Amino acid sequence: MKLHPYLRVLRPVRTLALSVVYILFVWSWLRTFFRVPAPVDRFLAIALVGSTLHGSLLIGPLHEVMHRSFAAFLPGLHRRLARWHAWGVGVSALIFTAVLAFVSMEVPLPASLGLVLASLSLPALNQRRRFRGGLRLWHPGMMALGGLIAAFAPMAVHRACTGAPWLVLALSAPIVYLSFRYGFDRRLTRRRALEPVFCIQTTILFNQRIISEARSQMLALTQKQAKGGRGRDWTVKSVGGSTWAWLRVQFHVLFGRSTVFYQVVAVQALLYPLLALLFPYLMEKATHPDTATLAGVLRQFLDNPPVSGNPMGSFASIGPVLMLSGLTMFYAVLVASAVPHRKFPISRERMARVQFAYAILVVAANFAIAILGASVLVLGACVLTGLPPGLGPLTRMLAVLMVLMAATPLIMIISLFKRALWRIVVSILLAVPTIPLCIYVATSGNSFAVSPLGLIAFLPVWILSAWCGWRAFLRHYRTADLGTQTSILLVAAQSGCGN
Amino acid sequence: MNPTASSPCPPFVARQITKRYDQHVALKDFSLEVPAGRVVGLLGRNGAGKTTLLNIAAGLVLPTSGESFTFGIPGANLDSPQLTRLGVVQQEGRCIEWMTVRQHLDFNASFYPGWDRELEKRLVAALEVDPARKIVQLSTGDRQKVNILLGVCHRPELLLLDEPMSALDPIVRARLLDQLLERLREDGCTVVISSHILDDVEKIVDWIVGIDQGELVEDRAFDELQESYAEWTLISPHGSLPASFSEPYILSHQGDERQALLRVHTRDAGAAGRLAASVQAEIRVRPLNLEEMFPLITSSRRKA
Repeated sequence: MKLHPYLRVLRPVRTLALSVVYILFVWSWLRTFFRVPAPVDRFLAIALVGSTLHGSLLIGPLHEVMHRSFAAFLPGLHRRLARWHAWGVGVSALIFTAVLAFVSMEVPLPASLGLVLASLSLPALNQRRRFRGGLRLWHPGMMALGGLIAAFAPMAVHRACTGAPWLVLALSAPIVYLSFRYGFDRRLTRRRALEPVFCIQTTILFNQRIISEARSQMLALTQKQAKGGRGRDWTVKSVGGSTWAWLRVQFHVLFGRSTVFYQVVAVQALLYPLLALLFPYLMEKATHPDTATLAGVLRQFLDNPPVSGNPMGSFASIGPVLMLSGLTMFYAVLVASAVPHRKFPISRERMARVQFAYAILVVAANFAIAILGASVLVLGACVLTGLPPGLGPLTRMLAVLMVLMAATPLIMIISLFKRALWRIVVSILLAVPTIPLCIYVATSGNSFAVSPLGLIAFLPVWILSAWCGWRAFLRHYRTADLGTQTSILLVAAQSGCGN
Repeated sequence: MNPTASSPCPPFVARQITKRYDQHVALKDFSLEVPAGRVVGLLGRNGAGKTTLLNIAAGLVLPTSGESFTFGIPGANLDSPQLTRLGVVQQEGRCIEWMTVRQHLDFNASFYPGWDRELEKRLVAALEVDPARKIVQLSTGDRQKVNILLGVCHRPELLLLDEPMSALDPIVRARLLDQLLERLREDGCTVVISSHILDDVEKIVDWIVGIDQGELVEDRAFDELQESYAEWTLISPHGSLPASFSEPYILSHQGDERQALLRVHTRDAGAAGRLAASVQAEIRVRPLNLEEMFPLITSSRRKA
């Protein structure tokens, strides 16, 4: 059997490097955050979580092949890929089991082998099903499952493996069989061939061309799936001349007539509070393993002012606010760098106006989501702790967002700089005042920012910042290469405009 | 050698297939039998259902109702024996973007026992593809060339081409057609080609299938079609031509009482003479090329 094409597709060096990073990452998390005792953390990191992640890395490149249009016509593709994957899983299982024999000597080899085999095979079941709006549920589901096992049942898994090793091996057999049986099902060929997938081995190292290609293919698919989102020619005659009208076209082109945009908003609003709470809780658990509880973290979050006299005293009190702000900022940068260059039949200046308005609107929506997320968090915390609802955390959140509103237009234009050095310099120049100010506002409990006087003080800063952002957008669009396949980030990186 | 000569069944058969996408009906009660060894030109306007038909033939899309068979096997069950004999060039084919052209050709070649390296070499040269470049770095036209290479080099018995030349320049199109003609001479494979560049299609097709709004409107040999469609020029020195003609075979008419240009669809060889005699005019008959026939073929069903 020829293994050369498999190795070409797999890219073993990248796969191996990613695997090592994943496993070390998981291991440190199990020790630090989940407080799993020493022999068990190594076993779980390698045999369960690490193997599953390695399995995802093994199957990812094969999925990438399956999700190309030519794959539907390659004779025997699925059988060949299944055989290749069996090789990959087999070799990996032997290596993982050998490593476990040294680092987790208390676990019998059959149990290690069984758990590793099942974990390596399981990711093959990922059908890469993409729901409307581009949502994929496999990875969040697997992460949640991993988190639950790590938090609540690490010892139980370890005990089962040491107590009944042959049973574990026997139970792994049907999992392996089902993973291969349904993971390489030929009946899925048609659907897979129509939906592009890019594995991490391809997109790693920030290959801009590939990322841009992936983004444009995903966008095309989203539009195709969106009801009424079929491509059409946009003319001044049919759309009109106003910036607002073209802004609506921009939204239509990106999201179709469906509710995709609102679905994304809803999911974000649900995810933000969860993420905002998760990290402070894990930090608290890591620093105070015996006393930290979810209720305790929520109580600290509801305190106002948070920690008197010691602004960094407790991450639990300010963490959620800072997490929400960080997520909002991250998304703002992501949105701004992903603004697509489209060929609308309008002047470059009008184009700049449309794209700037689009970026600002999406970021503003994200700010609203953050506030919504904070509100959900406050309400949830009140319900869980039995404390009366207070405006303290929301006030802090608003104050932080007001600082961020001043910085956002400037952060958005970082991606317009061609040279990486300029990007770094401007990022540092922006981060130096913004981050301490956000922390101060979040921790001090000072409500000046959300008072009428604070609003008056912030207004000129916002206007100045927005004006700077707008000038940078305008300058960029006057000289950039406009095309349907590119985004700001790619064009700025290639054409040299923007600085 | 003609591999299709030994095939007991036509390469593709569709029996009363209907394909719906939500509310949209792409193909409606469509029946077709692609004759073996022919070069079939699939004609139709945008959205007529050509790509859907080719996708059904390739097994990529299944009909909502009716039956389709490729090499005698239902589209849903196509497997290695059939896929080895099938070549598909899609309009917007997606390759593995990070691979170089060479790597991609080698990867695909590993799946076909009969991959023709000599043909691949000839086509790479003719289409001016740089094998060292990555797919992601290629222009739309160059990607189309790669798709052609991937679909043709294993010498398929049935080659389905969906707008294969839309992004190619005229020089490369001419070279591609030369290569295809050479292939046809060598193998006698069946080709179904959907293209809007009718000048090029006309050079190679010998059978025409016309689709309009998901329905079959034409299915016959190209020669036969050329005999039935014509342009008649009536010249009356006395200016006695009527303002309109009632003959059912006349599809379009323009001109005045002295000269009229008629586009007609009839297989009656004596019809031209009879019409000229009835209006006391001279008549000149010119056969139509495919480009001129296209609107007449695709609009005939609408008129009816």
